[in-house]
Amino acid sequence: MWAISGAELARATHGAGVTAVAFSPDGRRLATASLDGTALALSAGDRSLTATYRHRGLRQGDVLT
Amino acid sequence: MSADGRLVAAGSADGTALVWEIASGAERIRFHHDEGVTAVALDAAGGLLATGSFDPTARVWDVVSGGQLTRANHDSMVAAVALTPDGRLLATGSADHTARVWDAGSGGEQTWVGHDAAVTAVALDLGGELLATGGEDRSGPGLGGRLRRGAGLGRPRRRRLGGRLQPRRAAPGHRQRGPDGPRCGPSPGPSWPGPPTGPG
Repeated sequence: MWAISGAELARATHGAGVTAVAFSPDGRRLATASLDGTALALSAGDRSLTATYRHRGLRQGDVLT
Repeated sequence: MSADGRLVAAGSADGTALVWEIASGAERIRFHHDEGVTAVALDAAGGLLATGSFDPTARVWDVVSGGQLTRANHDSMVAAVALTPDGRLLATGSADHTARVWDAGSGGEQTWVGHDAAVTAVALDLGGELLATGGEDRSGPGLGGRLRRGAGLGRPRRRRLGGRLQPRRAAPGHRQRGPDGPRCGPSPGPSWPGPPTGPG
């Protein structure tokens, strides 16, 4: 996550490539999805991890959004 | 889709991007890239369409008039595009390992940031104050743990941008910080993406 100036604010690291990122409409949360089979929900304000969603039984490439 | 649910857009490997009216299913308009279209995004009102392509540009189109407003050049295929709801800013992610933010109207580059691999996802927050990126180097937005590593975060990517990637194609000109305005983030200090300074 970056400030629009380009300053890096924080980063999350997945175990494989990241396929999608999205802000919630109110801008308070971010979501990431990865080929590692997980999606993360993050607080944009304090940059903390709020939830991890793990897809079971999926193979790499199945998690697209 | 546009936020009002009125329009839906899709891009095709044949180089076209189409906008349909959801209610009627009628094709509203279509736009053409030189190569396959990889990503599309509508602004909230459905007045602007952003597209990314293998050609390797991102473009912003006026859905009503059909005109091309902006052409944003990358060094390799554009994998992701996003618009702020008001259509003011365009974010692009590319296989050239960068994500960039552009003025959607003028095409002026506002900011660029780097990954260690292709950037496959971008998002802008509602107010255009935050950019989130995801890459094939496994980085997404967010966690404080890595943030605490501080200045070390930026160095590998600065080296990559200033070294191997930068000279690869000079033609598009977006890394020649020319006289037509600032080409990187306006904030000094810890802001990472400054003018490329070469290896190290």
